[in-house]
Amino acid sequence: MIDCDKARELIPWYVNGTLTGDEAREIASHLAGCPTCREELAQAVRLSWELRAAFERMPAVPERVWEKVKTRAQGISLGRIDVGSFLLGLSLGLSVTRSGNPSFKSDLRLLGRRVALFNSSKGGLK
Amino acid sequence: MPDTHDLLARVARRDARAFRALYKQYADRVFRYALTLLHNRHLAEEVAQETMVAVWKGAGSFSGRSQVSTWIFGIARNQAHTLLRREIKGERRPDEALFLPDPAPAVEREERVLAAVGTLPEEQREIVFLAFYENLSYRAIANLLAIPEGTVKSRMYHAKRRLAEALG
Repeated sequence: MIDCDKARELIPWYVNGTLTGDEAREIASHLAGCPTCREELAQAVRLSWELRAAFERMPAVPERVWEKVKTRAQGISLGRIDVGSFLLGLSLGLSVTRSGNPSFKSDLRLLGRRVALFNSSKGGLK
Repeated sequence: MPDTHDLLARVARRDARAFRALYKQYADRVFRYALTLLHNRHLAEEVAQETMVAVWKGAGSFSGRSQVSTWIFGIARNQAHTLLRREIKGERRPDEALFLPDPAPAVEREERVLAAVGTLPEEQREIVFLAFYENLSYRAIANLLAIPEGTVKSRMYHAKRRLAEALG
């Protein structure tokens, strides 16, 4: 049986639903017999709602960040074909680099292990 | 919504659509986390950018021993601290715009809550963000921050007390 100090320590994680089953059962059992900790729980629930709503109001990341990420990542794959099974498979990929040059990448899978066949890109995604 | 582990595995195989989907799932969250840590929109953008590029480059190294979110927020945290060290060396001066809300119509209570969060020490702000916005367990937060679980709980305790005082 846990005491009030231990219960109050765990209440925020009870509220966000991340305690283990045993911990959650201990808290629930304590709360059933402790009005003071039930009030603490009610406050924590209110606070968690308010915090979530407030964090949601923080600005979203500007679209320009994606543009920069995309550019930094250089070649974004244009297409990819996978043929085969776990035993034997072939992948062919086409991507374009920051300079606009296309590049090809392929690999063969043997028993699930990848074997590179060829890669025409120079300084592409690595 | 696709499973995040599956998305990351596809990113590791250089699947651009999976990366776009992963970006949509995480970029705002990473940006808000960085904003919570740094109080600077410009630096938070830089953290979001560096983090997502690192995710693209490093997806293949994800071991699967932690949650994807813990891994990504770990990268973001390292990026934020790298930028902070650069600031301390005086290479760039942070602006004073703290917790700028969206230009949507103001909601007074939420702005008060954000303002109250902004008065917490950084170490408490991030615990509050990770617990109540990201729903991470105290164990996951301890792992992410590389601190004892008891320290996570203690920081949360103090943060809650200060927020209760500030918000009445």
